[in-house]
Amino acid sequence: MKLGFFPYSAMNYKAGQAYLERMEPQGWRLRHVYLSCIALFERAERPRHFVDLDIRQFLSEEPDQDYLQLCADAGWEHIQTLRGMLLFRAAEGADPAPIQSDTGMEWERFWKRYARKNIITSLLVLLAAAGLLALVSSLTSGPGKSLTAVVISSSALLYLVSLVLGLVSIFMSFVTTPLYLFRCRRSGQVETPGRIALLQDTLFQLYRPFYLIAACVALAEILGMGTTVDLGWSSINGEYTATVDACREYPVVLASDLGLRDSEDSRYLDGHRTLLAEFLSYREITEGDGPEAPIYILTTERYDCAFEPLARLVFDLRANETRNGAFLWGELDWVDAPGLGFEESYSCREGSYLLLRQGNVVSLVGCSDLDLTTPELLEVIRDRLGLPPA
Amino acid sequence: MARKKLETLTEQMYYVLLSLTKERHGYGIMQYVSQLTGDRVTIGAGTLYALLSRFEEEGLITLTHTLEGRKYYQLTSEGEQTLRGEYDRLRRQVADGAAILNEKEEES
Repeated sequence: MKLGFFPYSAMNYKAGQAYLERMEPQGWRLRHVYLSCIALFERAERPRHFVDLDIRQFLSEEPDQDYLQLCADAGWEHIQTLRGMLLFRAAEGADPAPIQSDTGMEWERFWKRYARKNIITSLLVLLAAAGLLALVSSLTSGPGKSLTAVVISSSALLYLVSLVLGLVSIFMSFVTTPLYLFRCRRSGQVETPGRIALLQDTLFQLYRPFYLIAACVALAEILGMGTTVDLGWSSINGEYTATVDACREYPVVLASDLGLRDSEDSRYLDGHRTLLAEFLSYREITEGDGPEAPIYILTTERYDCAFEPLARLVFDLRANETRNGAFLWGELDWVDAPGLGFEESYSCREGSYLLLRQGNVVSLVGCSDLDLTTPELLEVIRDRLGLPPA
Repeated sequence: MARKKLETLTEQMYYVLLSLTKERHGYGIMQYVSQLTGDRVTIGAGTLYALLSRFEEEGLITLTHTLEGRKYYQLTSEGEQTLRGEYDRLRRQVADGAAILNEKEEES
């Protein structure tokens, strides 16, 4: 037994034929292709193969039994149907004529019934993908829309990898396919594609596991499996009271840290973990002392990013979108605040809100009616967030 | 748009029609053509299948019956006319060739 790699697509079916023909002089006969690309070979005397195009209109249709019967009578065993190709091998002891004996007819069939339709379908898919991208972009951008959560999600990473693979593959197809078809048209027969076909089809094979993984990760995220912590409002459900001690275990700024009275029950902590970042969100509403005392609204958002360029992106993105209203307590008109001792820092509303970045960590800290830019409070914030000095 | 009718036949088309002057199934046609031409002309299963579909669509052959999963075909009168037309064309071609080549042979 011997294993091989068979990633070929119907567009490059002659490359698949050439691959199987290269195995023949060594006495290897194809037994089956598993998992869509792992070819298993077995020993045979004078093996022969033929890869034919499956010209059925819809892939869900059953193989044409009349055709398979005719091939079987002629000495060709049908191994399997794979990605629009019919894989055959010569029956034991048989020496049949090639399945396609008229190269002109074979080319005409390939062009009219496969390649032309394939090109039109690819263009339609490309247009649909561009439309979808425009739709997603219009839904996720604009005033009040937050993109940060999308950017740090695991599925976004996998979609990005899939998109890059897809674009590379599409780009290669747009360069190689017209050249290949031109070569075939000039010679009047379906030519064996160059070695780039192998690379192209291998990339295409890589799509499938990525899309599968991306779908699983997206599902896991939808089902909340990336949740690190989730303590709800006690006023909504008493069973979910987030105690000060419970919240203190997390790197967020509490009212007591800022010298304010701990709220009785208005405390909320939420966290999610993805492949790219860990996200924490803390909100607390507390009252000051005295009858005319103001109400303080505390906020901590924290993004522990997997790498610094992502943290820089999250910092810029969060600054822009909170300027446009993607924040629970209104628009934040950030101004540069370079003297706060962090690698990057913005402040707004007279120092009540700070957007900070130190290394891989981005944090938005806020407390209404309190200036957080005093050295004492900055030290407290740095300490609670667990950030080293810049 | 209607499909363009066959004007001239390829060698493989000619032999397929020729073999269907008697009722035959697909593999029978392949065997007959090989035997008739001494293996000079062999027809692949895929090529034959495409030809049979096309000939049937154009009314040159007809499906007579199916037995044990094999379809049997025979030439129609229109098919016979096409075959005879091609035979005449080939005969004239051969005659023209013979006239010129023989004349050249005599000269030398």
